[in-house]
Parts: sequence; structure tokens; C-alpha cells
Amino acid sequence: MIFEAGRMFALVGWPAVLLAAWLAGEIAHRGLGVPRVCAYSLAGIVYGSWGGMPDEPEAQAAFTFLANFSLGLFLFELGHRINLRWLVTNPWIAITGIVESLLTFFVVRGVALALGQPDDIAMVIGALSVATSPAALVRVVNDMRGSGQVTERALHLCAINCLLSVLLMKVAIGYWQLLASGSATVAVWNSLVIVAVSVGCGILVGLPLPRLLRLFRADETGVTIVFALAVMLVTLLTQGVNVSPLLAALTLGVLIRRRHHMLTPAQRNFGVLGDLLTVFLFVYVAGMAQWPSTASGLALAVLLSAGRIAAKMSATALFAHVSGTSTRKGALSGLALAPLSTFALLLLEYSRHAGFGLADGALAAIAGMMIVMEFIGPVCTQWALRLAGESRRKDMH
Amino acid sequence: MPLENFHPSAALSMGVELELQLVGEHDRDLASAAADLLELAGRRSFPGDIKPEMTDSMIEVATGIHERYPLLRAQLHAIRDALLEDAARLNVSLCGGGTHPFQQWHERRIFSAPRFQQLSGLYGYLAKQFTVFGQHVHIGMPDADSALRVLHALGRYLPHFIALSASSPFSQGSDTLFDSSRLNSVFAFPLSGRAPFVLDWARFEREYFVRMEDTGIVRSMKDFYWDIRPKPEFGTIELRVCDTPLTVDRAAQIAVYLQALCSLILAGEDPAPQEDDYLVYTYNRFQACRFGLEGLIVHPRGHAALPLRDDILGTLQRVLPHAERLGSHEALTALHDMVKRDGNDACRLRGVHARTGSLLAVVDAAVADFSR
Repeated sequence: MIFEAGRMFALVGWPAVLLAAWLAGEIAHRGLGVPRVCAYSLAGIVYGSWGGMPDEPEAQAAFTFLANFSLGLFLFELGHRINLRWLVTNPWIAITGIVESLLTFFVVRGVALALGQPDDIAMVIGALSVATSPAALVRVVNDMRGSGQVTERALHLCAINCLLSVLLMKVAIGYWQLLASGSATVAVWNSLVIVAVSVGCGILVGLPLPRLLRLFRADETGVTIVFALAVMLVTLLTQGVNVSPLLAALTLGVLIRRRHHMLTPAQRNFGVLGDLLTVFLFVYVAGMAQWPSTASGLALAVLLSAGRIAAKMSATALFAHVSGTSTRKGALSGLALAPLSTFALLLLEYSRHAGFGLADGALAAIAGMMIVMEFIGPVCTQWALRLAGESRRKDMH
Repeated sequence: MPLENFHPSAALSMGVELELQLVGEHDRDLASAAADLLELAGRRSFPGDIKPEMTDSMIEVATGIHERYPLLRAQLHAIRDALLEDAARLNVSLCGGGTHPFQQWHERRIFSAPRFQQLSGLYGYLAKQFTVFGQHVHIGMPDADSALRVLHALGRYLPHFIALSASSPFSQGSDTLFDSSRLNSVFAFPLSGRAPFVLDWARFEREYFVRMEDTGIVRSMKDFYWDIRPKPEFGTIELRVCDTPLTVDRAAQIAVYLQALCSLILAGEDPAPQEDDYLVYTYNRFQACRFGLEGLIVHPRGHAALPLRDDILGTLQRVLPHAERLGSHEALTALHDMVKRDGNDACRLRGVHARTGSLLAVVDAAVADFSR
């Protein structure tokens, strides 16, 4: 009975926490000019440290699904903004993305090694640091109604670095499995086939959608609902066959953009549904992170974060002129890539379920960086857009 | 500051300015890309003039001075091609059209330059509502008095240019039922409208400009947003009522129609302008904005009602000898076909909307047309 009451409290506590997080977000945004998602994360960290996170396997599975679905919506939206043709007409964007990702990987891995982390853990940390959180980036861009080169570049570079982060993680896992099992076949399966199957799932669900929407001449709400259900479908499908739901959602977004002559746009951020799930996603993911237990943990966090941002900004500034913008705007697009965590944490969580033994060690090592970037990341994006003069909401509040 | 002297220019030389829309690739809404595009254009030898406009989703390009249609058209093509190349590097699209069909005016940002910031301070929301896109045509005049005479004689033909160029049927997400809704944004400005009826430059300066200047309201001719205004420093008159057409070819055709019409007026083949001609001016202008080529105008002399389409077709016939002499008859034939058969750009955009039910598809069509 006592167990039941505790469980009840944990479940009922969630809507209350989400409401508190939402209120805090509004205060942060209107009163302090800080991105809403920072406040959501704060609420999550507080709730997580009170032990509010679900600890039963069934509840965990449900929350993981909901988090994957929420992040899937963001990845879909990110994919929807990716113009593959741009990457062909201006190949320097793709080159910037690849160099930026690899430089981040090596710099962060180097810092981690220098600070005494074991080689395999350092490799995982490096791979995870490559990704920019699409949730935080897309949310801040949408909140500010960002428009301009820094916005465009940050979104495209984010898609590239997420993809490369998944690949690098697979390589890290493959490397680990190779060491653990000695089977190269298993390593290859994890490194490449999973990526291919994820992309395949996105394509499978995405192909019939444009025809369906054209047939029904769906309105804005209709399009939003159909897209949201499609994301839910790929999330379930990919979770079912143990591949990456995030990559599948990204593929879905890119595909829909290419094939759907957007007769009606979907609501930005998936409307109210997206707003609600954003609160959940940030609270949940932040709740999973843990404060670093020692001062050296905090130092590691700060150094890793600084190395990561410096690597991203250097690469984007280096290729700015040749890719058609000023060095200043190039550097700012690197700064806008600062948000971390949601993508990385879910990636890690997924890897843990897939039996990746290093996940816990890596999580403990980068918990501090997660916390630091949870707050600093979205603020960096906000400042990057503001300094580039790309916010269309400047005079609204 | 006294009124600048009228510097005579080669009669019937012409120049075209086009205000263009910068739209995002992913959502087809207006994109804040003017500064980025200017930066890229600055890196190359741009085949014309390029400058910012009131809000940062607009760009204005201008040709040099031309006397013949083929060269004007060639430069417009060169400017267009350079812009498209730069825009592709920035993941932005460009298009014509007098309004963006569904942009929200309050989301616009004033371009970061002192002049625009000052205008925004003065005009408030009118400045952001002024995110509309027009074509201006300059025609060279041999002297100041001729400029005023041609300017007032053209008043009677103003509806032609509105109807021929009209490409702004949609605004803020709705069909306005106007062919050119853009001009309604222009009319909101206090110094819009028409020039006072004075045919003598010295009198214009003495009896109008200096007195207006004394009121402190204006400092130069730039402060007047008239439908047609003299531009003394260029030695031209400037027609400002046209929407930016969907194609640069149409822009060139409209410019040479004006050139041929000015040639006819300068040759004394049109009745001398009278102040009473302006009795029907505003009404006729409204008819052209609202109904385009289907408008029904009132002739300023005799006050007979006549279909605007017929009036344009008749005038195209009258100016044909001048066009042949100026080498632009091919362009007038294209205009003739458009008036007689295809309809204007507003018609085309409404057609796309009727077929697809989507304003995004309307912008898509405008983007495709611009590269044609």
C-alpha cells in the first residue's frame, strides 16, 4: 500500500512539475530574457535530485518513448528545414559541418584524455560532444523567429553534426564490442546497418505522406497532426527493431521537405502539442543528469564545455568567408551550436539499453558538462542570433 | 536646402529600379537576408546597382542608363542571374510581386541604417507595412519644363501602368480582391498622391517647393512619395506606381512602354495636360488597382466610361510608330498579347491559388517565374 502511494505520488507529481516548469519558463523568458528551455531544465534538475524520476522498468520505458517522440518532433522539424540542394550548391557548408564535427570530437577527446579519463570513455565523450541539441536549437530559433545566415547555418550544421555524432557513437560502440566480444561482424552491424535501417524506416513512413496530404487538402492543423503521428510511428517502429528513432525522424523531415510541395505548412513547433512535449522533454532529460560530485568533476565540465565551443567556433569561423558569409557571422553560427544534452543523453540512454557497458561511466564523466551546457547552451544560441541581428522578436517584449 | 537644378539628360533614356523579395527556402516566408546578400554582391563586380530597402527582407536593384530595349533587358537579366547565384549560396530565394502573400508585417525588421531607422521612428507601423515591392522607371527629359509637361500628361495613363504591372493580389494571408494591393500601403503616407498642377519649373520651385520647404515638412524631392515625380539631379521623371512584375522581361517591357508614351507626348501628339484632367485621376487609379485590366475608367476629356483594357490596347497602337523608332516594338507586342490574352501577373497568381489552394504555392510560382 505504501509502495502504491509512493508510486501514485511520483506519477501525479509530473503534471505539477511540468506546470511549475512552464511557469518558470514564462518568467525566465518575459522577465529575464532567458530562453524558456533553461528554466525547464532547472525544474528537471531540481525534480531529478528529489528523486522524482521513474525507477520502474515499465515507467522508464514509457518515459523513454515519450522523450524519443518529443525529440523526434524536433528532429523532424530540423529535417524539414534542411535543404540538401544547398549543400550541393554551396559545398562549403557540408565541409564546415564535417570539419566542425571532427574537430569537436578530437578536441573534446583530447581534453578528456588530458584530464585523466580512460581512452574508451574519452572516445564516447568526444562522440557525444559532437552533437548540437536539435531540441534546444530549434526551440530557441522558433522562439526568436530567427531568420538569416547564422540561423540557416546553425540548423544545417546541427543536422550534420547529429548525424556524425550517431556515426561516431556507433564506431565507439563497435570498437568497444570488438574489444569485448572479438567479433568484427557485431561491430559492423552496430556501426553501419543500424544507421541504414533507421534511415530506411524514415523513408518507409515518409514516402506515402505527401500523396495523402495532397489527396485530403489537409489544413494547418491536419498537416500538423499527420506529421506528429508519422513521427510517433517511426519512433515506435525504430524502437521495435532497436535502431535509432532520432535518425529516422530526421530522415522523415528531410524527405517530406523534398517530396511535399508544401501546400499547407505545419504549425511551428507542432503547435500546442510541441509546446507541451518540449516542457516534458527538457524536464525529463535534465532530471536524468546528475550534479558532479567533486570539484574536479566541475572543472572537467567547464574545460570540456570550453573546448567544445572553441572547436565549433574555430571551424565555423575558418570556413566562413569561403562559404559566403563574414567571419563574424561564421563564428556566431558556431556559438549557436552550443546546446548539448538532449540528443546526447538520449543517445547514451539508448546505447545503455542496447547493452553498451561504457554508457554509465561516460554518463558520470560528462554529467557536469551536461548540466553546464543545459543552461549555457541555449543562452549561447540566443546571443548568437541576437548579435547577428537575426531575431524577429526583438521588439516584442 | 533649395530645390536642386534640373540637370537635363538624354531625352528618352531610361533606367529601371526593382524592389525584390527575399524569401526563405523552407517556409517561403520573407527571410532576413538583405545584409548577407549585399555582402556577397559586394565581393563581385555586380552588373548594376544594389542597395538595401526599408526592411531587411527587401533588396533594391537598379540598371544603368539605357536608350534601347535589348540592352536594358540584357542588363536586367545579368543583374537577375548574379542575384540568383549569390542567393543560392545563402539558401535564399528571390522573387518579384508587389506584396508577399502571407508575411506578417509586425515580424519585419527595419534595415539597420540611420535613414531607415529615422523613417521608422517617424512613420511607426507604416514603415513595416511598407514591406511592399515596386518597380520605378526613370525616363530622361530634355529640360525641366518638358519634364513637368510630360509628368502631368502621363497622369491620364497612370492606370495603364498599374494594371499592366499589378502583381499584389494577396496581402497578410488573404485575397484582397485588388490586383494591386501594394499601392494601398503607399497611399497611407502623408506626402503620397500626385504632383501639384504646375507646368513651369521656375513656378514649381517658387510657388510650391519653397513654400512647402518653409513649412518644414520637406527638405528635398525625395520626401514626396508621388505617383510620378521629377528627379532633378538625374534629369528624369520617375514613375513609381508599378508593382515589381514577376519576370524581369515584363519589367523591361513596361519601361519601354513608358518610353514610347513619353516619346509620343514630347512629340506633341497628345493633348496638352489640364488641371481638370485630375478630376478623374484618383477614381481611375482605384479602378486599376482594384480590377486591373478589367477596370472601367472615365476619360478625363468628355468623361466617357471606357474599359481600361481597350484604352491600353488603343494606346499601344498609337505609340507603335515611336516604339518602332526606338527599337522596342517586340516588347510592346508582348504587352499586347498579355493584355489581350494572358492577363496580368495578379491573374497568374490568383490562378495558382485557385488551382492549389495554397499561398506557399503562390510564392513557389513567383520564385519560379523570376528565374525565367
